[in-house]
Amino acid sequence: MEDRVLVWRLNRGDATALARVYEKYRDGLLRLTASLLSDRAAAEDIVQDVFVRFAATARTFRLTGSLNGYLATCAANAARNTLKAARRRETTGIDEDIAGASDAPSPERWLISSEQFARVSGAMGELPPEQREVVTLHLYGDMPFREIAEWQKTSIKTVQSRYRYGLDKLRSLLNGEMNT
Amino acid sequence: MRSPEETERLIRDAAVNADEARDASVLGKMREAYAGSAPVVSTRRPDYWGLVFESRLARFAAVAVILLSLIIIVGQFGAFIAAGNVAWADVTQQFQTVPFFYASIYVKRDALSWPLHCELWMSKGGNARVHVNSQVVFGRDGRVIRAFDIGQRKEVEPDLAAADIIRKLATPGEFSLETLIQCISAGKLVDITPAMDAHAAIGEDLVVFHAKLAADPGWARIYALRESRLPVGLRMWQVADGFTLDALITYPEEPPAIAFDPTAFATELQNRANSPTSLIYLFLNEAGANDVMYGSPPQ
Repeated sequence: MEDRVLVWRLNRGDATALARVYEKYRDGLLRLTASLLSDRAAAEDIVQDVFVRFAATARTFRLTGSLNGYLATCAANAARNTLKAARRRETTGIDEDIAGASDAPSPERWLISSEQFARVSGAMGELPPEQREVVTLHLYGDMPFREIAEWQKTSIKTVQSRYRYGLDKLRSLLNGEMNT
Repeated sequence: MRSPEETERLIRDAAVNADEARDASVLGKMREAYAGSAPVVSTRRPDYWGLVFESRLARFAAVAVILLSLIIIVGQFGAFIAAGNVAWADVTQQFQTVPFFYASIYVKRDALSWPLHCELWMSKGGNARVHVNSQVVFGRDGRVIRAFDIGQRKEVEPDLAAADIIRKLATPGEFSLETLIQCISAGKLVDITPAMDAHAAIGEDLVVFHAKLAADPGWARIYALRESRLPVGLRMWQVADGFTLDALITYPEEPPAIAFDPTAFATELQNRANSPTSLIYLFLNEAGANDVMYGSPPQ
């Protein structure tokens, strides 16, 4: 309900609602993109870009589902494009860091990871991309499997299977780390 | 080896923080982008009730609350409808005599979705308490006093739907039937005066009253006990997509006044020993059983 109020206020020119949207979804989007990319600077640039693009269209924005889901999908799409671009550069022999692909400079560190998040994020990096997407979107983007299946253009059973395998691997990785 | 649930919790609880200077920079860019977009055409004042009805879920939850209100107020308009030997007015009058009631409301967006839940406690003294999502909202005489988020353990702005529930339910004396009809989403209810539905009555001890929806062949039904004349249930069904709303109304023993005291609640909110569950039902007599009470009210 609050999201509908926020969008409604933004539709009517109330810029103060931007701060609430930002405050509400900043951490979630930062966690989501940092987990998808394992690259802090690229993740920060994507989140900034998602927020700025949302603000640019907020006056005419129409909320059909959840705002969290919308923003998470935007961030996940951008993260996927960034990874694809990085893979293309690798195959064409251009040696460039993923973070270097972003246009906006990131002078100061935005995301400050807790020790726990650093461990989790590191473990996420060990997952195959499809599993990492499912786990991240479900746990950090609060997206139901049905929506993730639509986004990944696959069946809900495949998504559930990816989630189960991904979580099992994370469980094993995180247990190993915690025990050392 | 931790369980899958513990692993999920570990991942969800992995927190991040953000640098404040960068926050200011990003927010500045957002404001610039917003200011640079097309100007606003409409300058109408906020229509919060209309906003509530933009959400179908909130709209139907509100309709449930309004129908509960109708149970309270319809008697004032002299709507005597025979239902066997029980009149609708009997039900409304009997409901007005109870000192306290609890309503548990479930809403499903469509036939395939999971239900969402809202809880309401209300006493005759004008006190109301609503649990919606992670919020517990306190009201008195139709006004929200304070709202708390259980997850964040802090005072917050009240959930808009909860605030409307408190406002509408706590001021029955100010209700006008015509206004209510207009509020119910532009005449979606054709027949707001419930009539007896003998076909829907499944037992002699249950009386069913029936109201129709306008935009859909759907309906709303209010279930009352024949002997006590008290309403105990409400059911709405929209045919097009299987949207349903179910409300169960019970009449537990009235809780102590502290159950409606937001100051006492705020104090307990800071006590980390109180779990989210115990906070949601703090000081209420019947959280599932008569002999269970979360928290110990001072003697």
